[in-house]
Amino acid sequence: MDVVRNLARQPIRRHLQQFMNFCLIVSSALMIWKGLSVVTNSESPIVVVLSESMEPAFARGDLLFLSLPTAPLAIGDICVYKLAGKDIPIVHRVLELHQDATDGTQYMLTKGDNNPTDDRALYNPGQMWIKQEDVVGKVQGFVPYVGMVTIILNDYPKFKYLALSVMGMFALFSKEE
Amino acid sequence: MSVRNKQTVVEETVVDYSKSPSCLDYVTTPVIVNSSNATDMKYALDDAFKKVLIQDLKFTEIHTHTDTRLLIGFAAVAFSAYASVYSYVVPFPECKLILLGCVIAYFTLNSILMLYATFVEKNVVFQGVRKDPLGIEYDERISLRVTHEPFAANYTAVFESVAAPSRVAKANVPTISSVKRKGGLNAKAGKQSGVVTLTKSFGDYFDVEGRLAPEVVARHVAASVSGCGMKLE
Repeated sequence: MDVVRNLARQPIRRHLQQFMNFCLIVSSALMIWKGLSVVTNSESPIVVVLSESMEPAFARGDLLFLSLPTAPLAIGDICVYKLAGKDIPIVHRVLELHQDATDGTQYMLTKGDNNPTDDRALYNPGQMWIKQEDVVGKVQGFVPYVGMVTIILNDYPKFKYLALSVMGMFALFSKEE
Repeated sequence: MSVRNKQTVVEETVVDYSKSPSCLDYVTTPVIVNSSNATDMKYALDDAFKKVLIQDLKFTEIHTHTDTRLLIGFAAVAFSAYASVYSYVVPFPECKLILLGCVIAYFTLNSILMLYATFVEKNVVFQGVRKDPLGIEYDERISLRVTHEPFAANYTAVFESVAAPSRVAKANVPTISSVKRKGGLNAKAGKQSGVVTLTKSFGDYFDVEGRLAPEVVARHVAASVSGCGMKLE
């Protein structure tokens, strides 16, 4: 192929430059994500809703924007929390809030709006409450439907590889203007 | 495809450029670009000019700008790689500070890179030096800047030869290597700095199918270089 022959003929600096351009694109995306997570003080500042347990507020495929404010949560806040040993976080509303008089730790009970009972069924065996350190963030805003792209890419990983390879091809074979 | 052009300009010596090293190269691997794509043509022409300067006129390329940009770019990538590995290893609240440092460093380096390309490198396409093997004469340095409007067919090349360093000008002119000079101040005062602007259009170099005419490139480059006051060989 002509393109491959052209690639082989070019001097090493040009190859390095193209490789660097590709790396810069990837790193920029990464750094924007990490920067966002530092600014919002939350490990995962943007999450996608996977279940219908918060209908009618959030539907499956909505994109949620999180941040973790220093002030403690209040009743009625929608929070995203992670249970120990499980890696998928849960987005539910805070139902009850108790504070230990001696050491000030907060104990919270959550429930999904669309669920018949509170979350004790979802917590780990023996766990009755969640605490501040389980909370990944508080929902500050949302965008509907956009998250469906992520859901589709995860359900059909072939699309993900296809999209990534197409973008990689573009970056490698085009010259910057 | 070597096309014999009729000499329309009266020159002192009629030089047959089709036998020069760069043109012979093009016989085996002709350059054919998309004649509707101005960017392709500009890059092909840049490369052709550089080829003539390197192969025919025996300049060695100075890679300072490219190397600086590569260094800054890879430093930025290193910071981002470190940040991602670190935040993977150390869980979130503890890694925040280092992450913040890496993010700031990354975006600073990226901005420096862009500023460098815009203000320092500007539109320099080639920087070359020709050293005298005996070490008697001065280094000859040339820089080639190319401007080209986005959708127009014109191609403006500015050849600039930096003045050969003399005892007076030495403080202002950066030298790549120090050349030991014999004798007193230059007896070869004939080397002056010169600027030659070549305003052409793509049609002067490419035919309708996008084939490059290498002898035209060689002739123009040689004429510009000698116009800057430098010998051709």
